[in-house]
Amino acid sequence: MVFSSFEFLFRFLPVFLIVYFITPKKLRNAVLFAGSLIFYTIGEKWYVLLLAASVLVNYLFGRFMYRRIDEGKGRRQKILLICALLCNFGPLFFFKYSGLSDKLPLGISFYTFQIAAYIIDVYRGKIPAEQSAISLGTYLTMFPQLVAGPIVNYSEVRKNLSFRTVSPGRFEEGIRTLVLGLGAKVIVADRIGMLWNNIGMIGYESISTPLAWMGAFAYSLELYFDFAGYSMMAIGLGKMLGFEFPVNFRFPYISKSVTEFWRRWHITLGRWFREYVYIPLGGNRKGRVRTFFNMFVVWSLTALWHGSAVNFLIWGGMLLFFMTAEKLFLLKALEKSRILSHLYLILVIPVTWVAFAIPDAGRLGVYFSRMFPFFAKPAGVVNQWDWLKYLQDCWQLFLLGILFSTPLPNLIYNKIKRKAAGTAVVAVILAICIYYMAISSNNPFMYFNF
Amino acid sequence: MAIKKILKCKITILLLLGWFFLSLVGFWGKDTVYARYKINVKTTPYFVSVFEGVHDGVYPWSQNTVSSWEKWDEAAKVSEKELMLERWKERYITVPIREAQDIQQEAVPENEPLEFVTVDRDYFSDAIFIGDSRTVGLFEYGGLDDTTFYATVGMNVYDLWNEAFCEIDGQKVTLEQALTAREYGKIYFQIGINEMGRGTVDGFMEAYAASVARFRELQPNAVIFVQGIMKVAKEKSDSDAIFNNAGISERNERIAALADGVDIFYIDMNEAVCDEEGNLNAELTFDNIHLFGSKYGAWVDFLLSHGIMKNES
Repeated sequence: MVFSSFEFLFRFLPVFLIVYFITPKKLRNAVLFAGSLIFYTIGEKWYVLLLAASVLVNYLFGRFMYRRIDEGKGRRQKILLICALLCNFGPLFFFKYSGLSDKLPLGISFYTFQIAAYIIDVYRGKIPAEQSAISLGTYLTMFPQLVAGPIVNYSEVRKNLSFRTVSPGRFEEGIRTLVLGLGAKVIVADRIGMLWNNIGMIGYESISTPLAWMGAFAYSLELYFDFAGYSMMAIGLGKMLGFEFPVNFRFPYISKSVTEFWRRWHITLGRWFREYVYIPLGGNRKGRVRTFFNMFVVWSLTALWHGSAVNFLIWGGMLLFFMTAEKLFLLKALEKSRILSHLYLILVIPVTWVAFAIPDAGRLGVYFSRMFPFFAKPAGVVNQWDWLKYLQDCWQLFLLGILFSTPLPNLIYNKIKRKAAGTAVVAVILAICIYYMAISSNNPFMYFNF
Repeated sequence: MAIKKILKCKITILLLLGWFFLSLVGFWGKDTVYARYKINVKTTPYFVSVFEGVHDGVYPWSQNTVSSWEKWDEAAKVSEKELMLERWKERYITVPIREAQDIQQEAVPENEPLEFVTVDRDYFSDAIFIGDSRTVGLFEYGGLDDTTFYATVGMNVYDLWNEAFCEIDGQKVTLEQALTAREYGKIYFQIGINEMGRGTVDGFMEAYAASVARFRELQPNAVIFVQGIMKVAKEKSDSDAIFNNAGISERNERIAALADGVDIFYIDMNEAVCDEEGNLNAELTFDNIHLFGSKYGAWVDFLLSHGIMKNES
């Protein structure tokens, strides 16, 4: 059940909200836990057992392991930590990398990271072990962020797990955030994604160089609005239930370097790797060589987290290459010109996303040969003017995507959101979303027009 | 105080009101205005048909509640009845045997049906291609530069004559206007996949045959090629209840029956792009429905080997 479906928005969610709000506050965690398990079961059936087992196992490990900082840690803590991490990363490894299962349980990459963070924090004495299995389950399985993040730290929601209120004003704010996130996904991402599909349909060997670049930009916008939109919806849903989730995207495309980009993109993932891998390895405090080694480890793991196909390694390698270059000399050079540094980022990131998008190394090579045609002659029939047609079809979407990649619309919205104009804007976005969802859900001919 | 706070939740209230009232509208029209939209109540609210209606130009106050394909379905039923009536007449109204024999003799064509011959690319210089996205692909990647193409993504036989999708001197015109503007030697027609799932096969054929008749009327001297609908790849065919090769074959058989061997010919490019099982070869496609840009050559080659040279008498 994706958030941008009628089934979720007008069936599951309202029923859940009614049950949730008529339940006394004390029992709301149980309702949310049960609701999340139902949500997961609708999508994944038996894998819900894996999720429930993860809650139970980590609850027990946490309880047995926890000692206050002043009590010190013994051998037992270390052994328990290692066992717990094996229990968490074992299934992730099995499903994602062993090749023994062709299906990945929904959200496993996200919830594994969340619960691993919890266990490590308990080990470190940063947070006390959760005394209630229901509260821990509520935290881990919470349906707004279960499937696609943000990766919420236990410490961020701990207070709200034991006490939270939802005022009408906050509920309204949550709905508005949900609508804006829905708009990002349905109005921009899903539609500009059609261009990327069309390019696949033509075949990479037959596209002109301008179209290859247009495709890279379109895919970059699709990925951003899809993912950031989903995170926004999660944040909005969280607000409606009384939680405050961390921001996951902060206008990444206005960055001036790849390093900065990754501080603004999928922030909660970057934070996880920094907190639980990079800093424990010594971060940048152990000399230059060690710093680069640590970066290498972090980016190899980041690449692997996204997937096990070879293109993810190419993608991670590209990012590592640019970040290392930036650390060595490029950042200094880029600092001299704002325009040049923006241009650099806007050209480099889409190239990395192309590597992210095309799982087959051979076909990826063909795509790159069309983006950079000076190295290889095209193998197929190239229609030199193909890009004009697609530009005609998509230029409004590109403008919309570029505009909303900057902070400007957000600034304007924050100024008007308490006024009638703000309400009108959200209402119109909602209506457009419903319109696009309606003509694509029930009507196979919208997206499958041949 | 509490009520005042709640009233400030304008989007929440708008959402609930909109949901309620538009669902009422959708429910009220579910057997009339919105009858063509199927709502699965378990997953979909009734207001969805209202939005779908807006997309198709159908509003609660619309008089015309029949979809473009339903008319053809009705027409097909009428033709079916007429056909039955004719058969009934044949059977029960006795025709003098001699006369019947005369008619039969007359029906034998004077000439043998024309054979396909190999032609060169100049053959297409006075040809026009009419169709859907597949024909758009042929236009973009087939390299037939001097040929006229009137095709657009999503085109179907029901909308073929109402939509202004042809371009003449930068002006968008209807197909009828476009076919009136110039004389063509050959008309290549491939359409029929977008129609699947809408209406019956009989209705589709009724509309298809009517379109072919219209071509004949507007271009009396052109050779008309009705092309078999290109198949989809196995993966698609096996997983889709609507867009599958059994359905395509059923339509193609009926289309083939329109050929008369004199000035209407059936050609099926599937033999150039399908595997032994009759599915679109998976290596030729990304989305299982369209050829890669670089593979349209196979279609062009097929057309080159299936020309018709009219006997000039």
